[in-house]
Amino acid sequence: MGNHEELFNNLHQEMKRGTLVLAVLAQLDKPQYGYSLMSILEEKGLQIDQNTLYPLLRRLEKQGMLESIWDVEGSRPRRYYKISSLGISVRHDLISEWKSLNKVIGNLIGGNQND
Amino acid sequence: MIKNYLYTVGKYLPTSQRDDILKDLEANIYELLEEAHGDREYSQEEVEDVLYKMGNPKKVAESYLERPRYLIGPQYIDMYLLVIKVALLGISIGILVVSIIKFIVDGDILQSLLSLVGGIWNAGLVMVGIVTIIFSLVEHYGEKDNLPFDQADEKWSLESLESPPEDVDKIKISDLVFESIFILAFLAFINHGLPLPIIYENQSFVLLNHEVLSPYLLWINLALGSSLLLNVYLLMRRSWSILTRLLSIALDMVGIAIFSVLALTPDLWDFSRIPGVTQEELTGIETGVGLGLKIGLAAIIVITLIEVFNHIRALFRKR
Repeated sequence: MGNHEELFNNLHQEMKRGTLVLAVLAQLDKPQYGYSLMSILEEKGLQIDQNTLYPLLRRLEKQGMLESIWDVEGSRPRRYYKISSLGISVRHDLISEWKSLNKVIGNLIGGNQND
Repeated sequence: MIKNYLYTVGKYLPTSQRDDILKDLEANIYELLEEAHGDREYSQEEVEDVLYKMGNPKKVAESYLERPRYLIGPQYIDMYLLVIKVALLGISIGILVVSIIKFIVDGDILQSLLSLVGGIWNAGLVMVGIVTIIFSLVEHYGEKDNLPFDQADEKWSLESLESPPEDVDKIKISDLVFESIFILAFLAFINHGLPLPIIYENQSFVLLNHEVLSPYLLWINLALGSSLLLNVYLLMRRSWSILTRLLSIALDMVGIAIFSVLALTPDLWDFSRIPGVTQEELTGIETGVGLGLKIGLAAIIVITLIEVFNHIRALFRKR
């Protein structure tokens, strides 16, 4: 029989991983660098590891959903990310999908939420 | 310290992306330092603290890789391991036989053991290297699985599904493995000294004329090596195709040709080396061995022709 904590952690990670893209896209209307985005997400209750966030930002940029610019004016160069027009349209669809999924899951677990 | 960290991460990154990722990573490290301690020079301890927070360099590098890197992927790894096992077993058998014969001839157990271990080590290394190169080339340039199991963005259609081979085209893996072990053992045997001694009145004599045989060795190696490559390919494909059947027929024909030349070459054996043999006895031995070789040749031709016939029948059925 599987260990409850280990099973839960794995499933929780898996569930969370699926929501990260939407969470990131939702916070990048204004340009943010990695650490500032991580702080915003944490403030709003989403803990994300830097080794998950930074590669994810690069991947989203590669897929055209984010744009990035290097700010070299400060003492250290910093990469700022901002959502692109493609990202905005994908985010729109993802939000609709999220709401619909939320409703479905709510219906499925509705009566037993405290179990 | 930061340079060392970046260098170590870079070792696990592909060259094409290394500089770009490391530039990002360096900026991330300084972001963390700045957020924790402000914009200033940082102490060794502060840097170390942030680097530990970043994590194991290998893990960090892996998190940036979009897909795992490997020389031989999941599609071929089981077959690769099977081929390596077959190759090592075949080579070991061949060299073991040579070493036993050497021991019988020389009676020097240490020399025979050294020959056994050294031979298996050398031939094994070469074989593992060759097999690894072949499989990595197939992995790199070969046909990939059509179905994208782990890449949700790639489309697939029902047309991309592979149909299982018809019964007539199915390959028995055990037959191929057995044949490959035999070929490898034979290759190891002929390339590892080929002593073939005859023991007569407690004395051993090598009756094979190496000078006559050596020009054929290259062709024997090429033919058997090609058969091995074909077997490895068939193990990977797991079914016959028109091309592999035609290749197999061609290799069977080459095999018959080489064996015929060897069996019908009168100078291949030199029985006059047997001490005290009279001319009459020599003629008798030569006639007997010649007849034996011809019977052996006839048997091999019959067996091979049956195999060729089966291939041709299968080709016609397919048409």
